[in-house]
Amino acid sequence: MSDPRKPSELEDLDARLAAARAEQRALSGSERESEGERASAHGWAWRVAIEMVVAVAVGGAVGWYLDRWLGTLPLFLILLFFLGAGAGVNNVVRAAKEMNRAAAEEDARVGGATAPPDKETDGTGGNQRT
Amino acid sequence: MATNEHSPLAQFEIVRKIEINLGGLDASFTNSSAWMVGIVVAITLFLTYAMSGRAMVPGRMQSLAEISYEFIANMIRDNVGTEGRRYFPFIFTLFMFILFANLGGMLPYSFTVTSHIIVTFALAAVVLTGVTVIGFIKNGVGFLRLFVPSGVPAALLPLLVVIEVISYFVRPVSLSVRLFANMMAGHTMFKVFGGFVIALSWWGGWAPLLFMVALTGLEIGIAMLQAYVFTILSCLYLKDALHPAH
Repeated sequence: MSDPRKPSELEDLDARLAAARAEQRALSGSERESEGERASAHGWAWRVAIEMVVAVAVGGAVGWYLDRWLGTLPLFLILLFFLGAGAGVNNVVRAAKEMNRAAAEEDARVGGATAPPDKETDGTGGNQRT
Repeated sequence: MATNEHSPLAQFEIVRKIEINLGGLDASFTNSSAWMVGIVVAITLFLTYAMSGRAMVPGRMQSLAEISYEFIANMIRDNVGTEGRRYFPFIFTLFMFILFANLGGMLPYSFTVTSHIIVTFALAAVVLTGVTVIGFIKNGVGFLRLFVPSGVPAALLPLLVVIEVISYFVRPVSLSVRLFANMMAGHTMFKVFGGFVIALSWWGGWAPLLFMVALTGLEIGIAMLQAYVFTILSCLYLKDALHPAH
């Protein structure tokens, strides 16, 4: 009894779902997109900033303790401060690479039709070490 | 430290509930330990209760549990690959623990476990030690290739290897500082603005009160976001251990 009705009901639901989704996307799609982007941008900003600061701080701290231990005060402090800064930049570059990769994947998932043109070219072009 | 009851930092105070002394080592059961036990119990109850129905079409609770599962499963698949699947239990536990700790801290009168750097550092140290051990088991000495960037002139190599090694050892610190700083800053801000509400009383207290409502929403977002960030970075470090080549 319900067999002939079921497919049509499902089709009906399908159509209504598609219509509702399209409407939703048209209404608040861009708004919600930016909301999510802002949250993840906040996360990335924290990540990059802390990566940089912590690397310099750890480098400096290790250098200072080495100096106090060996009695060579400014030597390792200065050396490891700059090496720590280098490590921080290294970690930031790595994080930026991951961001690029994630953005490229996101674009691929969203689909070619709406992909912004600037994301296609960025890749990791500038990050390769020479 | 004479923090009085109304100090914004009083919420972070560790209180010994049961004094335990193991040969001069202070291993007391504190309010922090109590909250950690509570978090584990809450996660266990939540997941077992949510999945007790095992319905084909999930209800609200079952959806929550399934979404958490799929979220982490997809994260591992996207960031580590299929061989990361066997580490799912650990990553999932890590995520749920941090998520519940952060969200539990949003309850009034609660204690935020993750606002103490020693807790987040212990978590990060476990992740990084585990990842290093996995890297050596899977790749042997080849794991050290992680520290040798490819395509570098030989003259620069010693410097870059040192920098790579330092950035590897900085990872647990930055991982733990990020979570701890976010949590501590947010909760301190809560108490400071809460103090403003009382201090400005009837005529001026409404502005900080409105701000606190907005801040509560933001903090709930940050609680989830930071659990996510901690977990996804653990996944990325795991990927480095499984595929050390640059």
